[in-house]
Amino acid sequence: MRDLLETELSALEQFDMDALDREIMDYGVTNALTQENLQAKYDPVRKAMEKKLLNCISGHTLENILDILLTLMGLVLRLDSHYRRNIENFNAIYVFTDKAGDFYSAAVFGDNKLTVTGRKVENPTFTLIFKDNRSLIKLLFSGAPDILNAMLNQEVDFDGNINYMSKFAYMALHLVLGLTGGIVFAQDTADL
Amino acid sequence: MAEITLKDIRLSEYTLENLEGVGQLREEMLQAPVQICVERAWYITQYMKEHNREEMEAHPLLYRARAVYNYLSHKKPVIPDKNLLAGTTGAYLKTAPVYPEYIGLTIWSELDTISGRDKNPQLLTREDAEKLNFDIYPYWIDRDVLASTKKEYGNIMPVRLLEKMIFYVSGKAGCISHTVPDFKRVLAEGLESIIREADEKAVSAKPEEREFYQAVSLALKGLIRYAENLSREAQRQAMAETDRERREQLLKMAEVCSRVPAKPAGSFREAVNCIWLCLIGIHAENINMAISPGRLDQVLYPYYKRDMDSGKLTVKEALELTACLWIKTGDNVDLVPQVSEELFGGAGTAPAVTVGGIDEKGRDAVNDLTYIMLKVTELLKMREPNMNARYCAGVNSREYRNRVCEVIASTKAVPALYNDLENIKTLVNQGTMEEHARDYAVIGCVELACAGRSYDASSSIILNLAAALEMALYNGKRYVTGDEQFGPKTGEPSKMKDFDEFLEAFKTQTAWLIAQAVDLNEKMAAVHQRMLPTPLLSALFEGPMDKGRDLVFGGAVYNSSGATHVGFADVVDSLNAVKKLVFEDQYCTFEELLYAVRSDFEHRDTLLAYARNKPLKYGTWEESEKGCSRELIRFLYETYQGYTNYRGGKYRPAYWTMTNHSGQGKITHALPNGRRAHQPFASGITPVSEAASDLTECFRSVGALCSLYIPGGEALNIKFTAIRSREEAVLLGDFVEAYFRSGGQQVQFNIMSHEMLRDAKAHPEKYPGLLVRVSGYSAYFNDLNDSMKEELITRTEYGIQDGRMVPDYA
Repeated sequence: MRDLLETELSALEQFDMDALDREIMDYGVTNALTQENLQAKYDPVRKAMEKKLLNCISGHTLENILDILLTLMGLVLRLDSHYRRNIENFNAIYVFTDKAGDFYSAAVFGDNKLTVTGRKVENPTFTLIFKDNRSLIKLLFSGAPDILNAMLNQEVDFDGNINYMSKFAYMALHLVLGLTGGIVFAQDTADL
Repeated sequence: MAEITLKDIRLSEYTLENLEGVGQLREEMLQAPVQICVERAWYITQYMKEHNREEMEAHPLLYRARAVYNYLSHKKPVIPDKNLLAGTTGAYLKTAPVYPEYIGLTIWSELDTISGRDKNPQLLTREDAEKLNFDIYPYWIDRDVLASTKKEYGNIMPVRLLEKMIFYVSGKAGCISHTVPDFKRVLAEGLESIIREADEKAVSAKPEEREFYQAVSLALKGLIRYAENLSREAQRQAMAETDRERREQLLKMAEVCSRVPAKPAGSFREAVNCIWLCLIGIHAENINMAISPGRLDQVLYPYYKRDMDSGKLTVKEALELTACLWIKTGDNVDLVPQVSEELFGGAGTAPAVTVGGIDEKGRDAVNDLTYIMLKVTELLKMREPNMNARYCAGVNSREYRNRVCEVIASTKAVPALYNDLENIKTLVNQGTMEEHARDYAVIGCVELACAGRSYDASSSIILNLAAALEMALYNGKRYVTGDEQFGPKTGEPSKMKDFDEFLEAFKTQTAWLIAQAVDLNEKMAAVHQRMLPTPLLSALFEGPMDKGRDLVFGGAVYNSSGATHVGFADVVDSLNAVKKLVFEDQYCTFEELLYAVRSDFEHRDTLLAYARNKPLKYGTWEESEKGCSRELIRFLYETYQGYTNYRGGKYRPAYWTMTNHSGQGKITHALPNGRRAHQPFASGITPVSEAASDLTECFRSVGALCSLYIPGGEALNIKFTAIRSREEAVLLGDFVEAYFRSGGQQVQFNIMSHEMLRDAKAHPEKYPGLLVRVSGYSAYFNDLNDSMKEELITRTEYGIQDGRMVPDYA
């Protein structure tokens, strides 16, 4: 269990994505100094969310996993220009819902940012229907999303182009592996 | 008819040690890690990105050719080892190339982990992962074959069934490939001659044909550019080389690449390298799945003989060059995501080489080169190429037959054997001219092709027959997908009055499933025509250059689509079980049987024993006479032949499964024959393990299925405990001959016991490079997943002396 520091808790409580967007609008994200300032300012929030996400994945808490993931993803997309390359010219709407229809969340990628809404959206690009948070964690964070087995176990279903699922899973897993040191690459080409 | 001039057809004096560098090349290739190579994907994608989509769609042939040219002309010339042949499929010694047009995006979510996964990792550099993630995949996210199909046709039932993966696999989502090109013309005339013909024909051709000829010309020029670049690189390295012998090799390589494939091959070495360069070119355009070199002992023989007669070549050099080609064919593997690795892992790319048999005039085609290729296969014991030996009883000699059997005994797995008499008859029945049928070669696993004349798309459909059976049992639903209705409602089995009614329900479900799979294949074919024509491959076929038409538009002399089946033996046995238990013996009601199946026979031991032991079993003669196997084979044949594909050819049923019988078995619930949930199915056309205790009866039973109804080919797996002497190899030959005389088309062997395989599973380090036959192709035992290993371990094992089953006491 990763405990949140007091500064992180407080930052999390005060965090407002709209306020961050306004700051970015005011200063412009391309300004390197601004980027650095923003990163420093929002670092406690980011750290808090990262801890909460890791706690979810390790099974300590399962609640709100998707909210935490999407908020963290939205934050990192705003703060980290390298990670933001993932959504350059990327326009897609993901809907996450459960079979009973009790849960609904839409992730809207456009204008180089991610917006999350609980309102119903028309014509989503990809819809993921999952049984519960545990199924979602298994699908997204097991290291290699096994949608076939997840479908066979009635844990998830989907509607749309499966490539969008792969892309989202990459972005989600990349965030986590970056924290856990799980990214493994071959040595550089020159050394092969 | 060639004369055998070798004094010793076994070539006993040659070993890995006394063939120059071959042993080391083999070791290096076996040990080399698989590197994911993005070079092709990068150049193809960059070209596509730079051009307007509408324009490309209006002229798919030209743009495809230009994209391929862009890649080949920029492709890095790499000389990664001391192989005598120049050229590599990718930028590394052993490569998994990325084909984003097909299934290259399936590893997207694994870019950060694929290098470090436990089983068969595929190495990716950070730089290449970023290229894929930021530059290549985003372009294809809505454009690969499956995405394009869904975009055009919507989320239709055939697509939904495909995405469930438990009904069928549609090959066209991942490839067409699966074919045997014709290398005779390029060897005799060189690519420049084909380019000249294309340029000349383009001048006076109709507009759509003109584009085809222009595309051929351009794509082939790309391949020549690559060879020229290789030549320069070899020259450059030679200049820097201090070792005299190696310098000579590099200079020779430079000289060879300056001639072939542009010009006619002037020597055996040039011919061998020309074929390898052409295969690289084909893989620049087409995914690396079962692009098969074909009858190399026939194609290369004139060059071998000329050089031997003139004293320019020795047997030793021919062995070395052949070995170099064999090793090169394993320089590429498929890109495999984790889920495929777990379900279907261990598969190679199955480039099939075919030797022996008869020639176009019906004469014995076995020649010195046949024996040289067998010797190389025996020495190397490698997965690639997938080696196949044709045998024509009454024409080919017993010495040849027995030599093939010795090689099987020595390698414990290869080559597979093919019956010319049945296979030629089967192809003729499909409308193939007899002389062309006599020149057949094997595609990938076991499929039959008229080399360089037929475009067979032999992996178009891989259909799970157990899915149709389950839909008959559950009124159009499958166990694993619960209440979701897929197939037609054919009625509750418990209300069926006789077995015929149930059989009819099963046939209805099967026909429905086939209709869905065929529909999807046709729709994806239209996508292929619009996106992925194959001008380079087309240039290496008879037909397209005459018709002015690409292969994907029906340019070949003969056309067909292949549909193979998973779970044949288990489904036959299950049908027989329903008949026996419910209707003949009335041992239980259908409801009771279904309850037992649903509960995976938990606490139903007596019923399970009855289901396993009492009904007729496919693989016995009684089953052939009274059971369902022959009826099912005929039904499938007639159903498929009722469809004509987009190229004007027929659909051909086949029975090979690669590792799909393990993967599909893993995701299929229990069946009425007593097969428990998630267990592998029997492979190919092989009876269920231990169903056939007598090998002769088993052979008669499989032979009785009638090859005319199996035009796509079959894989029969037979395991012998051991073959300890030449005399026992002769016995193996006798078994094969008896099987072929009873009508069998193909048979492949594993010469290994239950105990040995169990030991190999427990101690993989003791069995590096252990070669096994899976179902149609070879694999390294250690690369297979546990389920597939278990399937191999528990296959029926026979003794070579009496052909009786050896009990598995474990």
